[in-house]
Amino acid sequence: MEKMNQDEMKNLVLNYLTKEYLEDVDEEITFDTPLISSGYVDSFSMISLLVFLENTFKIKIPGSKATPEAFDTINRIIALVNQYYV
Amino acid sequence: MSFNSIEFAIFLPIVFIAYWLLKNKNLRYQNILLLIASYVFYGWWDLRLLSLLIILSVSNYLIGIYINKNEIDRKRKNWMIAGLVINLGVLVIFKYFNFFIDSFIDLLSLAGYNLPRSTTKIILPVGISFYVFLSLSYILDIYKRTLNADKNIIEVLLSLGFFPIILAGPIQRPSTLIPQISQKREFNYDQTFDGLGQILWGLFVKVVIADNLALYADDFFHNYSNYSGSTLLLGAVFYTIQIYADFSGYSNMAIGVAKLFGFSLMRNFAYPYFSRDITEFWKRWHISLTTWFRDYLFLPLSFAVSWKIKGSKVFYIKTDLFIYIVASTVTWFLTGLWHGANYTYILWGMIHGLLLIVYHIQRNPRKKLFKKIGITNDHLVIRIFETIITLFVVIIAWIFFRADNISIAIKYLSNMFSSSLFTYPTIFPVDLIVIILLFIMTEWISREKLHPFQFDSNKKLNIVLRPVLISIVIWAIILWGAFKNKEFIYFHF
Repeated sequence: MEKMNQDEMKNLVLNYLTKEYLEDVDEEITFDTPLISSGYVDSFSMISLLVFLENTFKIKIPGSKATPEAFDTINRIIALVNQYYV
Repeated sequence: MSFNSIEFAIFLPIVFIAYWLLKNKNLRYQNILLLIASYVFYGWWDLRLLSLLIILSVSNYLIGIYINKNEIDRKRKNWMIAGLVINLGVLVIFKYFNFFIDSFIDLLSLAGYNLPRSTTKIILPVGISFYVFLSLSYILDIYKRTLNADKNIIEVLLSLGFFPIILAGPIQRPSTLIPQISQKREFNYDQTFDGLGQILWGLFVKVVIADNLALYADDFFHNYSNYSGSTLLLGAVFYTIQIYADFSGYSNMAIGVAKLFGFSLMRNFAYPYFSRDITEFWKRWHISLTTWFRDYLFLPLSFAVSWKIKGSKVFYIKTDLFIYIVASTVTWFLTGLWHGANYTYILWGMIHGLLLIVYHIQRNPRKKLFKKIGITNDHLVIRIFETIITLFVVIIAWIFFRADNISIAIKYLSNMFSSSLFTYPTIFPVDLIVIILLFIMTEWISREKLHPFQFDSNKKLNIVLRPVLISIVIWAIILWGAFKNKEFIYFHF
């Protein structure tokens, strides 16, 4: 699979979250919207997202990176993925 | 010393005045004063236990320094493990030792070996679960490099023993408290009045709501075999409100007291009984504990499990759900155990874990079903129905939490769901129920605010409303306050 660019990655994550967990959210979700601290994404959604990221980008994210801060916005999620996505 | 005691009513103004008189002097003196005040506050319970707190805090301070100064990962990890062993060791010895020994003897007796029970019991230091969790987050944050080990010992000791939070939280992590401790605080009238209002509301909720309900709930739970099903249901409802009023009342007072000294603590309750589902409930109940478990146990464990899994399914279960089940089971087992050394707490934790798993399993099929039959998720009837169901399961789970043992909880439930459930309750305190209804109504009206006494000083109506409400609450405390029970439920956790 050809490597995706940053915008494609962000949009992919945004589409996944919107479809799976944010359908009922009225507010517009941007790449900088706080997802966990604002309560949009709960613990289960975080795991779901983790599995989605690992399967989509064929990566493994170590437990030491498991902080809610690293998953709080789409920009931060992609920054985390970039550390392992080659 | 407890927030609802005469001693504290004398202690607080003295510390407050001395603290702000030191304002123009060195920040260090203010912090030293707060540290001494914190140790007086804690030592008031038992001087011997104060020494445990001090020894543990100094150990954590030193371990933090050692983790920070080492660049070699292996050494950092060794110091972090030393910190975990010391903190968890203290918790296990003081809180769970008797429980483990008794459980071991029970297990052996099942196998036919009868060992004598020790009559020596280790004293449970008040607030130990709270200050050990503060210490653990200090060590783990330094290890994860999200916090630099502070070389100022006064600041570290204060962050691990600050008197508003030391007995029952909120579990304000040192990573968010130390920056406030090391910065100059300015006296602010709005913040002070807001803090006083929050203390007053917390005191009202504790002495008028929680302590009056406790008189009935204690009786219903102790003498459950004498009461009808409807009375026992009332008892379960009373306890549900009591534990919320007791703990949220304490949290409001703690946050309010911290505001008087210029500190901003995290919110611990956000009207949890108005939650629509069990995940929402846990986003609103004891927030500082649930986020602690999420960040330091649930997520690292989920990542660790995920690391071991290959493929999209495990035992025919989707990978994300499988990881969630494993991590939830461990997390909720330990969340239950955190509350106390009793199987009732463990079962209560496991019930909530199970409810959360069931919620996530049914979430997507329900969404599809609603779509298919054309029901919007936001329909008022659905919302009300789901809120009632959520409250009902929470009430049932509280019965296990409150009962002295699991057998009593089951008997309580079986007596409750008997034919006498449909009779008029044996005891029905109308005046107390009216006060509770007014309390619930006030909480509902205030649900968008941090606490019901949070007033917007720019609104003219509040100039009249504020003194009127404050007078009513003071009057209610004097008239209906039950002052015999000075302890808060969560002091024992």
